[in-house]
Amino acid sequence: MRKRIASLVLLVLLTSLLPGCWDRYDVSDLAIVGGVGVDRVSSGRIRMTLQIALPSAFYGGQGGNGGQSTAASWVVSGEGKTVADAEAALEKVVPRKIFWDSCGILVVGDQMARQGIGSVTDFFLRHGSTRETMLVMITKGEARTFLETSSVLERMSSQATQILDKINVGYSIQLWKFAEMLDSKGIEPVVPWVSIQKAGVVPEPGKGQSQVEQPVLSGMAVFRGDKVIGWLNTRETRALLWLKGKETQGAITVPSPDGSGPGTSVKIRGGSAQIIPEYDGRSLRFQVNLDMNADVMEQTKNEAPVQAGTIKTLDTRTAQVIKQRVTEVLHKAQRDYGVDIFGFGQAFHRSYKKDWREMKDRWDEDFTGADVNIAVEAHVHEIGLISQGAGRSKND
Amino acid sequence: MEQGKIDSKQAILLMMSTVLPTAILTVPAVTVKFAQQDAWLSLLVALSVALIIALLIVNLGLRFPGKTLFVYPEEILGKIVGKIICGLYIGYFLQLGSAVVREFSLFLGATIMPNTPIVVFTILIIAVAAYAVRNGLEVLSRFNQLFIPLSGLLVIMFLLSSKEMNLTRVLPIFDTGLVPVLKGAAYPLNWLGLIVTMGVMLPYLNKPRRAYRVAVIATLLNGLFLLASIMGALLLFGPHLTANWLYPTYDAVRVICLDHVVERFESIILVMWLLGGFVKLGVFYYGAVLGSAQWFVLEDYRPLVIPVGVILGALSFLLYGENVADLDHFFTDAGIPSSVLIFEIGIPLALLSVDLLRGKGRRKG
Amino acid sequence: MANFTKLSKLKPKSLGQNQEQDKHPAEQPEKVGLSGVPWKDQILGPDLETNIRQIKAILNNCSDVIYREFVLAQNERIRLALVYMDSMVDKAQISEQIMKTLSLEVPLVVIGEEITQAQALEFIKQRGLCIHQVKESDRFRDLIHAILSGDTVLLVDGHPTAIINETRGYESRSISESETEPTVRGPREAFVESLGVNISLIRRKIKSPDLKIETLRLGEVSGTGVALVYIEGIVNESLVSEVKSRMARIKVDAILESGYIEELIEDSPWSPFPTVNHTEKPDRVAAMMLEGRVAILVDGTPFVLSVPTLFVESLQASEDYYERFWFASAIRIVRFLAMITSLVLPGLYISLVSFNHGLLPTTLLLSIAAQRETVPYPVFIEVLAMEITFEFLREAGIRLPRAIGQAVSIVGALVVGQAAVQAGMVGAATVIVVALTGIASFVFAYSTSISFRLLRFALILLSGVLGLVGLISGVAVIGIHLCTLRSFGVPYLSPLVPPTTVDLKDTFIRGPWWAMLSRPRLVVKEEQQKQATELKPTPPETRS
Repeated sequence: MRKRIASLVLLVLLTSLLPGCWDRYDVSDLAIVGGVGVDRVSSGRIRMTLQIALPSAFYGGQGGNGGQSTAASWVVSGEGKTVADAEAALEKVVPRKIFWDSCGILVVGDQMARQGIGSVTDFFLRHGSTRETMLVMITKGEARTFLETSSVLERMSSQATQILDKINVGYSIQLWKFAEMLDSKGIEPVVPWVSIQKAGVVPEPGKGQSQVEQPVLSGMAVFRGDKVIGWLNTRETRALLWLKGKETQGAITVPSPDGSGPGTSVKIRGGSAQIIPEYDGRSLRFQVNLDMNADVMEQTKNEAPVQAGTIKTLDTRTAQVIKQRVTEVLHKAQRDYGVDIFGFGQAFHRSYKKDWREMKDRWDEDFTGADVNIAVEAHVHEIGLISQGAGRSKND
Repeated sequence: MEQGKIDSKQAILLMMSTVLPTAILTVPAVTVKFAQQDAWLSLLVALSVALIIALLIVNLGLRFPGKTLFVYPEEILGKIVGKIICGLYIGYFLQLGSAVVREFSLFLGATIMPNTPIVVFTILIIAVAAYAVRNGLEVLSRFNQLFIPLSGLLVIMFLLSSKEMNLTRVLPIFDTGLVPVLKGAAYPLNWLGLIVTMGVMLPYLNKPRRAYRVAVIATLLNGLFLLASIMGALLLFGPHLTANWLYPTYDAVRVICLDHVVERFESIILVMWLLGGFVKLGVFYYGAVLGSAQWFVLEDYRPLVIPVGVILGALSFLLYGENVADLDHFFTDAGIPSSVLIFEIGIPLALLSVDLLRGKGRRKG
Repeated sequence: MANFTKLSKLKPKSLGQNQEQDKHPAEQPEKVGLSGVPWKDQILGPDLETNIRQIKAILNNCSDVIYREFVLAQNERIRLALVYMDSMVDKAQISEQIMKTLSLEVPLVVIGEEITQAQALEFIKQRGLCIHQVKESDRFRDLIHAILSGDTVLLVDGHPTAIINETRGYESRSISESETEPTVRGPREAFVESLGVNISLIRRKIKSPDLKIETLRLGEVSGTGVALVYIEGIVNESLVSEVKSRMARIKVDAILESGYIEELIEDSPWSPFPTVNHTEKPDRVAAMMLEGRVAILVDGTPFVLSVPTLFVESLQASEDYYERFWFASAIRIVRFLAMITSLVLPGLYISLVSFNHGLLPTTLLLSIAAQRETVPYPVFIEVLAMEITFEFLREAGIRLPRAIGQAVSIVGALVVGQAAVQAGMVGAATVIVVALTGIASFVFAYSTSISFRLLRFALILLSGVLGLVGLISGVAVIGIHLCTLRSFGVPYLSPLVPPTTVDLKDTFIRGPWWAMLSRPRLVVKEEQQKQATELKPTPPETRS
């Protein structure tokens, strides 16, 4: 009996071996995609651009010549009526099996983004081979141009963008998070806005210098539904992130405690945000409480040193600046764009679930008219490793 | 027939593997589809009904020590009706087993290896389970015990993804009302109600007196794990996205990335799911084989292992249509209410009440 | 010899061997003695000449047998004869302690007394021999066996009984350090090929009257001495009788190594896993017996079997018990990792590189892709070829004379490691994987690692066809198989599955000695305390 079982297992094995290996693709048969871009071209067709990594550029061993001279990527585009069509077109051009799993970013050109990217996210979420953690980005101009740029430190612009995104916590919107925001009522999506900028030079001995173009984060694109309707610059973005209670980086300059000099630079570490809706059936009000933490980054030499006494003043000044910035972005969202990118609607839903049922479909209007009161508290914690501005004692 | 004995711990773990491997993947999406962010309430409803089923089936089993679910219907209702009920339960286990086969074949075929013919996976899964079943309940439960510590990784993954979780996503509570919550309870109840397989295991427990404890603890643990998977998916994705995805737990694991060091965890889910699937199929397969042997009053069930395996494979192709959507349809619309009502509650309840009536009558007379 | 008819009923494990053995009785005609009775059943006669003739007839064409006839000093009419094997005896002992005393010195002791022929045997035994161990026998079977084992047979004219003198003195290897199980800390001595020496090595470890040694003789032709050793009071009695009954079933022509016995007494003869463990270290055997196991010593081999065997034994080394427990536990976990690595790594590599690419980090994927651009074959073939190459190298390393062995390893390392990679025929990652697997397979017990080597190839095939799914299915089948195994009735995977919480202290970890209070429950079948509780040392309360 045992023998019979064994032979059965063997038989199964052999029969499965006979027709060969159906899903076997050696890594060297793969076109490893680093990033994908989607554009709408003038004729109304959709163009998909792939940034395909060239493996030899990534091989550190003796065999590959890992010098900078090797090109790191191949950028190739395909056009079609739909996103899937464009992909099909690409499959005819790329001589290997397109490997989506490594694809880290999805860049959408603003032409496409203004007309709606629902079909794009649907394609990639349904696809199965792409990862839900792919970063979604919008670029002004063409996604293709963005992907065609190379990066200096990283080999591919897609890699560079991923790392930028990782450093600038709070910005990144992964595909699944975008889908969640798109699906949820009471919040509208915002997506990082990236662009290419000239950034520094690479001096090459004997040849002079070569100008470097580098992908940078320029802010956020604001959506209504799946369509881009506006943009926030980095300054506004940071205020948006504060309001959402997300961790973020970046410094702001506040008037120094004694009012002298250009001001003290304070780094906002982030904090918590609380949105409290108040609704009496007619008027909608929101109370927003922000509690921010900050560190001193830089003092100009004419300022009075930060001390136990002055730190309270610094706290209130920081709070004032934050409040001003937050109000700015809030007004922009309410007045210029008329969309709730902060999640006020979700907060309202949690507190007034019955009223929400009738308001959820006209939420943008209600939100635009809502009265928002912002209260900010800031706490400066670290003053750095020195207590006095350098060179200050000389001035005295 | 079956020489081996299993202890209480093994029985609990076996019952967990009977329910969880597929349930943990599919339950969140379906339940959330009905009950939105109140899915966890649905689960609690299902859990309480499942506990009643557990008590019912153990009570019934303990009335006939040493006899399985396939044998005692005869004693209660007489030979002919008893054989019919026994036959129904064999069919039930065949259906459950073939559903597992189909689900696994489709998942592997559709999502992981799209170019491989589905029949390859069907044969592979049945062959592995057949090897375990042939070696009896003892080996099946030991195999289960051997690999179940791996599910500790699930807990770790749950903790890892907690960074992304947001408690506000399940608020406000009771948003959808009572009816959707009850509707949502039907699907998890189908899984939790699989505790009726205790009717097959019970005679082989080394301490039958602990059967109540086994059934209750197993059901509670199953409920806990399902609750965790539902809560995990809800807190991570919110109700809309959870309902939209076919396998939210799988996706939850996919989105875990801690600074790109710990990511691509889904392979672990795949490993656990496959291993758990072998056991799960093994339990139903074993039920069908043992039941058939007892139906035909055979000395040994082992000659039936291969024929029943072939039947399982064939049924998996015949019953559930072409793709995942068809399978889903089978579960949510056609299969669930009937199997819960008939096999998990109906027949056991009928058997128990008939036995109670007759027993009372006998004692009086 | 009648037993040979039963041979065909032996378990199929030694089918090939059996056919060979079955021929023996037919080809070798029974040596029939003068009376026409098979010699094994014959009894000595009173006449010296007839007896010697009979022995000569049995041992004809054995040029190394020496027949030495002489007379007793006391009474020259009493004729004596010594029969022994030339190369198997201690000749000095024979000449000094038998011949000299009997033919020269005996008269000095008893003067003036005539020894009659009837008294001769008793007189010689009592006063004539300066030999430690003497036995009497009147059966040719015993005499021949004694001669062949290196004892000396003394025949006395007129007596149908012979005296067997223990004079064994053949060359044997001296006790040396273990080569297969070297240790850093712990006793270094290893068993040798001599059964007597091996028993003494065990006896020296356990000086207890409870240490029981039962010897038996196996192999119809070889007549190999086999000893069952166990500690009464610790061992489970039913285990001893089970071992005995399984040993009694063995009817083969020869036992040249304990491996013969191992295959003939296993629970699952088809399994690739060893359910009978072997070791060549006396301390390990002693520890095994103290855990309630039975040791089987076989003459002619330093490898001692111990049953029942558990899977976790392949993670354990005797050294673990001598090192500090933290370190020992860490090493055991390392061994476990190595075990898993050696089983699944090549299969996992194939799955990741040619099926489930998504599970590799992108940078690694790119690096492997770059290495493989020039490799002509799919990774499945590449790994298989490299694994086979590695097996070549390993086998060559064992078989070749030591001096050449080094050359092979250098060539192997150069050719396989460097040239193949540089020529672009093999990816560097493949070499790393194969080498790592190879090294990992040396980390844990050799006997299990052989099984894993075989199974690894099966997993490579499965992964090559179905990727990760195939690999997991293969691992599942191996897992189920391990669950079905038993060694002398004890579940092979215990105490892991079914878990015995107390015994888990000595599996993946090694608990401190003061905490390991009981013997393995499933081996001794009951709860047995082996040491006092509260042995944990505590510092004195007062401090100077």
